[in-house]
Amino acid sequence: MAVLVDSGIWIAAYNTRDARHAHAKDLLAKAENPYITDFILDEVVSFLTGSRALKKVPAEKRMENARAFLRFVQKSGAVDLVKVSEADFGMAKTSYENLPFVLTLTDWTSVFTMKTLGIQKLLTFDGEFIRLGREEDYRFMQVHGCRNRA
Amino acid sequence: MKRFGKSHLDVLFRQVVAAELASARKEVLVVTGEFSAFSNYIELQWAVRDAVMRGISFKIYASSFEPGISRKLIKWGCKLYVGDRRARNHFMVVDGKTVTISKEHPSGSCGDRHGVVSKTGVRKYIGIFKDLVHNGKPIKKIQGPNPLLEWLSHPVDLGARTDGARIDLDMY
Repeated sequence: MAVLVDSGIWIAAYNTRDARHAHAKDLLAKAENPYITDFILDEVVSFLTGSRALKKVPAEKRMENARAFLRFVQKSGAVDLVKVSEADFGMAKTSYENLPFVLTLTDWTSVFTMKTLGIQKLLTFDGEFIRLGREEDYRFMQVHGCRNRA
Repeated sequence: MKRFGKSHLDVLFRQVVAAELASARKEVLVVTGEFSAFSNYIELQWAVRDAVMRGISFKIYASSFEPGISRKLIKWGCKLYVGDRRARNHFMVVDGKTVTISKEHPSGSCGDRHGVVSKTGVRKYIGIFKDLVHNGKPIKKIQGPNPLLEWLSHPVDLGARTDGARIDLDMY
């Protein structure tokens, strides 16, 4: 089954010192057909390159880790990298502006890309997706990896 | 005939190949070395994927494929062939109507790709393709270990503690 994997899962699985490393590895190991969007990839690479959490790590090391992740996504054949379409970005932006959920613009692009590509399963640590998935228009999403934030 | 010269980051080559792939309606034939343009340039991966999703047939001959690249292409339904014989110039035939020829360039370089898109001589290149495929062998099965499990078995120490559940708060 196709599954979209959110940024936090990738970072947690990548970093042995992440608080949820074992959980993320366990979730990903069961993912048969994982997907990542260009927006999620950008979020992961931005985090690896310049996040507050990693600011004490030497810049060369941060760049090396970020580039290694890019190579993994592009060349390993382990994951399908898909791009967010203009239409899905438009829907995401409108939802971000108008709907009462604490989700980022990238999160919303994930939701609409899943809908467009027929991906039903989402791996994420963000419990807000569970709340969203209770709404009639978003019941196609099966959210795994988190507890409800609300 | 339309020529494309060497360009920074191979931008002209990439634009030409992406446009040709976008124009495909039926079949694309490729003769390449390691298919490094596909491996390195993500928009060309997307262009192939978009074409496959439109129902375009892909047949690709190479002297070798990186395992991850062959895995991806086979998963998408492309037909792959490998053989010892190498073509001096790499090329791509779209719908039997145009041939895009990437002339010989240093292996692994970026910015040296140059060549032509032509509507003449296409039959000759289809013949070269058929000959190479005839003397090569198809790759039908995805080979090697699961790359996701391989990646998961080699995590790294990023140098600091993180929490995947709060990256939005720790981003900036």
